Amino acid sequence: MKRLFPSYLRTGGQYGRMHPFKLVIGGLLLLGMSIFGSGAIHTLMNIRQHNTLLEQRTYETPWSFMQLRQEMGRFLDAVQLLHAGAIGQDDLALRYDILWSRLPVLLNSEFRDTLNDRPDLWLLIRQIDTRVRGLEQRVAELQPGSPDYRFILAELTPYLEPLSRTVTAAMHGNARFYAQYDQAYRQLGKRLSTQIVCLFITLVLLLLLLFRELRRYWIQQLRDPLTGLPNRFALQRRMAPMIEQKVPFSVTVLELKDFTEHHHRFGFEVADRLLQAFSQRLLHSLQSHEFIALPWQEGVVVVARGVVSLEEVRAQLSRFRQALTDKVSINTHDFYMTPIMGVVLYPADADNLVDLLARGELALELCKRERLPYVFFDPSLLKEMSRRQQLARDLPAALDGSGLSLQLRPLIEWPGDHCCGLQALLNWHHPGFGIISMAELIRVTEQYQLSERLFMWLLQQICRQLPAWKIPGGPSLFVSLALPPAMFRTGLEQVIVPVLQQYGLSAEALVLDINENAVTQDTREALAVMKGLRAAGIRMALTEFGSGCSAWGTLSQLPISWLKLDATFCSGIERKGEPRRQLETLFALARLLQQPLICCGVEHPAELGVLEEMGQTLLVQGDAVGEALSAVEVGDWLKQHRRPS
Amino acid sequence: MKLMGRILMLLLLSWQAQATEPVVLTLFGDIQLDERQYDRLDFTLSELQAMPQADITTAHPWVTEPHHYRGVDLNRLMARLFGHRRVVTLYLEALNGFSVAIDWPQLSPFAPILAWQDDGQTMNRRNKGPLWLMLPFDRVPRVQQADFLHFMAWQLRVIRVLSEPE
Repeated sequence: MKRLFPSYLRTGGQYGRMHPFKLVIGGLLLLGMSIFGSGAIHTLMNIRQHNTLLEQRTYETPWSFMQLRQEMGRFLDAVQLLHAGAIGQDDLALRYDILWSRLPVLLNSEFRDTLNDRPDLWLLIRQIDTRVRGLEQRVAELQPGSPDYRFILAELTPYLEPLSRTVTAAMHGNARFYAQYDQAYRQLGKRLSTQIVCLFITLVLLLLLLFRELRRYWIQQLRDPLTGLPNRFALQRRMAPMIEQKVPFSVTVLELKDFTEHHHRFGFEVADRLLQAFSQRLLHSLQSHEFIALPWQEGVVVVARGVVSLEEVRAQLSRFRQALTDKVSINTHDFYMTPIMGVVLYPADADNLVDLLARGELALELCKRERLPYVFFDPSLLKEMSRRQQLARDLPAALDGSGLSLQLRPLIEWPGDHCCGLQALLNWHHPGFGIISMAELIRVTEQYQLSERLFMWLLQQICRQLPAWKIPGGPSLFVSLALPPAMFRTGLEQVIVPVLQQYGLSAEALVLDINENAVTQDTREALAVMKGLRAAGIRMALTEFGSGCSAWGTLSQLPISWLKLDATFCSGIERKGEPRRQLETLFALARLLQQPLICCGVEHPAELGVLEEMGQTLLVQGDAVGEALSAVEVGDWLKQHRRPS
Repeated sequence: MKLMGRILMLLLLSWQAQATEPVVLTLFGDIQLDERQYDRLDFTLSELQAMPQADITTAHPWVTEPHHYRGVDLNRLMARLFGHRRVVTLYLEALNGFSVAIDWPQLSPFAPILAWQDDGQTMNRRNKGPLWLMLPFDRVPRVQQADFLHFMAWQLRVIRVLSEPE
């Protein structure tokens, strides 16, 4: 029975539908109510009919006979009283008239119908009527002491006895009728009470069923249908009183690491079951002062009442990690659930529900970005966010004005000391925040959808100045630009080539730095984009080679011109050791892939020496070969460092 | 002068008629008429006929077809005689001794009359007269008909009115 009438919402169960058995029960109860209700109404109508029958019985036949008998007796008494001189003629006439008036009532057709089975009675009334009417003259002329009164008595007295018998018989009939009536009435009453009791019972049962359904819908309204955890509404209901009473508590926002990736890779069913397992494990690890909810998809929130110290929160987080340690197998896939957690404290970090949740999400975002297991919300995060918002607001104006300055780092062919190209960098001198680094600028533009605009601005600037830097008769010079991930999509060459053509530059003049992550996200599409660029004559360098997780099979197919090593690989290589060995491995891999390398961040001449020892021609960038130059300095610098072809 | 003479003659005749005409209805109760108090008033048929009249055409168990009745408008009669009080119950008494108590607030909305004429014929004692408390019986709801049947007392002679102060 518990399965049919669950008082709680089972996850993944009926999705809020009513159980067919309950529908049948409800229908049967409703049917029962209709049957008992209509039965009760029918019985009431029967009782009413009985009452009418009783009324008619009382007021029609027996009553009228009794009245006739009574009035005849009174009239005969009046005749004798007049004869004795006790009453006057008027009194006799009154009695005579009243007797007369009783007869038409019994002679009308309705009564005739009721007396169909008693023709003798009908005849008796007709005879009495005839005799009464025949006496009119004698009654009018009757005088006190006159012997005529005997005639009147003789005419009507014989009818007294049959009338009395009729009245008695009618009374007996009535008594029988009442006995039967009482019996029928009792039966009807019993039936009515049974029907009313049954009606009441079915009504109570139906109300009970409806109440349970209402309660189920109410619980359902407060819970997430997938996990069965309380939803945002329920969370608000729990948190609001604590905020009103100023009770301190901690809010921990948890998400499964790489959950979105699992979603895409394994589909919704597996991801849903994973989320269910995640929430159930957390639910079972809760302590009495903690409350769990799922206010939005994928994000679980745990509220811990009375928790104020970071030690307590750390212990809680450690408990959660412990609860999620064991493997979960879903559809033959094994998952190890790693949570990422953002923690906010009330009232230290925020004083209302919306801010608490928003700041928890902010901490969680930082977790994701910095790949940390957990982050405690700090007001500096808010400052950081507002700084970025301000930068994003100010950037369009800076692009139109002169806030941004172009910097170029030479790319030198090594060994050989020949400048083949320039790497374009940007500096932003913000009026409020000072110098904004290239890295921060790129992060802001990516977050606020400004990266394409910035790239196109940079491309225009480069294209405008590049012809001026070219030495007549000298070898070609390229400029390397970092391509924002947001622009890495099919048809990119159709955006870039027209700009190059506008300034009369060939596609060879541009090299795009493409991040390895952008390529590995969707290899097939990346290959299509890169082939498009290559077909247009634009060369590409794959950045962060060695620090990402390249698919080697794909890497050999990519139409790239260089592999670009991160600056970290070129530091500390002066002496033999791990960094040097790592660099040698990367060089060996590049040889295997038959791709030339670009080494960035080469700061010291000693590092240059090591690179030279590698015995491989490569491009070098860094302070050791050339410092960052402003656009006006580039022309002179090139004249000194470029050898004629 | 001729006209005045005729009016005086008529008044005289009517006084004479009144002097000889029998009383057909006696009313008991806290009666107030023309700013005078009475506890009993007798009415002859002519006096009743001189009062505001009303008509009812109805069928009822004592007739086979609808009859047209004319008589004193009982609501207006009660208002005239008991306008200063609230009428609660009427006790009707017939010539043969039959009596019945009527809940006046229940009956009043049906505009009962004290009928003295049945299909154009003045009713006599042999024909349920001289007064019959008549109701528009066929307009009374079926559930109330059995009760209301008792109220239609014929050969009506006395009405005792129980009233209370407003």
